[in-house]
Amino acid sequence: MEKFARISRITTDYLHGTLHKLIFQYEGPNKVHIVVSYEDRNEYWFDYELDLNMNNHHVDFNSHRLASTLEKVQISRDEHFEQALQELFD
Amino acid sequence: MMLLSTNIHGDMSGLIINLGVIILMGMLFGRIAEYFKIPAITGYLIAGLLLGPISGFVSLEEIKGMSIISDVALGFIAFQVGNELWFGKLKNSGMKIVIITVVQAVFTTAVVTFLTMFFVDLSVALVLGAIAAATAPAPIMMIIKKYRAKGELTDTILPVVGLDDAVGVIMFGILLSISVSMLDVTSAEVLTVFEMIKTPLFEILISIGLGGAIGVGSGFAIRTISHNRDRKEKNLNIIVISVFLTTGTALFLGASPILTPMIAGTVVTNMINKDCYVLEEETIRFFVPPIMIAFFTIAGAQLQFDVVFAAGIVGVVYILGRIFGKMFGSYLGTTIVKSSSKVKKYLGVSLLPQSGVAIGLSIAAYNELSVVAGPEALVVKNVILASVLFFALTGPVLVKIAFTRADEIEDVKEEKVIPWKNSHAYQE
Repeated sequence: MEKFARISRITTDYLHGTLHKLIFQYEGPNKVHIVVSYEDRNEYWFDYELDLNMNNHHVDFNSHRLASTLEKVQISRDEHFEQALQELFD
Repeated sequence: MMLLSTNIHGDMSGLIINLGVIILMGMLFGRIAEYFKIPAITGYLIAGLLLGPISGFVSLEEIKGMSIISDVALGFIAFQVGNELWFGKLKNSGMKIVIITVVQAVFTTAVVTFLTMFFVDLSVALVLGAIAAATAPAPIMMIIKKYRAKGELTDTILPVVGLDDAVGVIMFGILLSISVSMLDVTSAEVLTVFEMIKTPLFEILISIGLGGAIGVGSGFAIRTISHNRDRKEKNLNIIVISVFLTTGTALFLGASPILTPMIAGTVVTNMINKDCYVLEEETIRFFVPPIMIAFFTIAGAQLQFDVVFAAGIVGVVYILGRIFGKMFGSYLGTTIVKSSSKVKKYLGVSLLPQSGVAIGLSIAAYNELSVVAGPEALVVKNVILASVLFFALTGPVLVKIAFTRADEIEDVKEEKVIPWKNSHAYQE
């Protein structure tokens, strides 16, 4: 729960949104796929997808997109968010 | 190629193969567009252009056989636009945002209608005007996120684009009904004002009744879904039933196939809590992508260069009218609510991108107008498709210029990311 709270705080600090959903999906012994779904204050929804390498705890960027069927669009990654997340798993 | 382009009468295999190729090409070009930081919809349209008018791989006759895709996709688009009309969100946005959105949308519609009516029939000009109001949030969002935009312009534009499509769709539903009733009379007939508004009014009332009734039923059904493993599946079933029933019954009863699912979407979103709303959005997003890819790729394949060139002047007037309407309409709206000079100056330019909803509305207009006036319907469809390509390609550049001049974006270094491949770990 503590890690979840910290991810929630990181999401607010760096992505300026409220964490709504967090998915950890094990994809083999050395890889975890993480999906951070958050909502910004204008009620737009975003999905930030990353892969966590369990061996070296590196966070690899996968995608960051506006979560909408009609307006599917890739958004830039946020290096500070990824670094903060990596530090969390170090 | 012969195998794919041959559609044996009574045999659905050719149609199914063509659909597979359409979705495949749309997906590929959508990915390529995303790589170049262009919204995926532009890629779908380009794929359609290649499959349709450029290569002739898919003919207009074959496209007619796929009309169920367009009806269903339009139902989902309208339902989702309705979903955005959550009254709590309107309250949070505040009256200022509502005033700016409505004023700029109505002004843009009025300007485009007024300017294009010198070149086309008033009934067609009304439809073009209504579609001109729609704005695409994607390029705006892309620039804001990429350059970490902050400030008054950013704070104003985000809620405005969230509401803009709903206002545009409502105006479109009303004006399309009026337009069809105007075209549906012979020149010998002289109509009174009452007779002219009777049919559209009746159509709108049926749409509200149907959409409202199906929406209430769906809202109650979603609220009763229990929290278990089947939750998503049940939710999806209800949404699909709602969209199919609203679209189908609207077409059957002569109501608006755009307003009806939109009203159902609005009723549903205001009956359920946020948790249910998020789940609903997720399930729609999981289900509709192939339908949307097919719909937008087919839309691109329907572009007819001869019609575009023949109606070239209408297209140019539409584009210029929309630019003028958005800029001065936004200026008017922001002046009424006393926004800062920066917002007054740059909001209009930032609202120029147009894509998904405008394409959907042009296809909806074509479907309805083609029954009573084929050539006019073709003009609407082709002018909008060509201008959407124009605004999709120029819009993001204009948005960036506006935000730079408004001094609301940071100087962020360009990054290379391959969207379909993991990359760039932060090495210590």
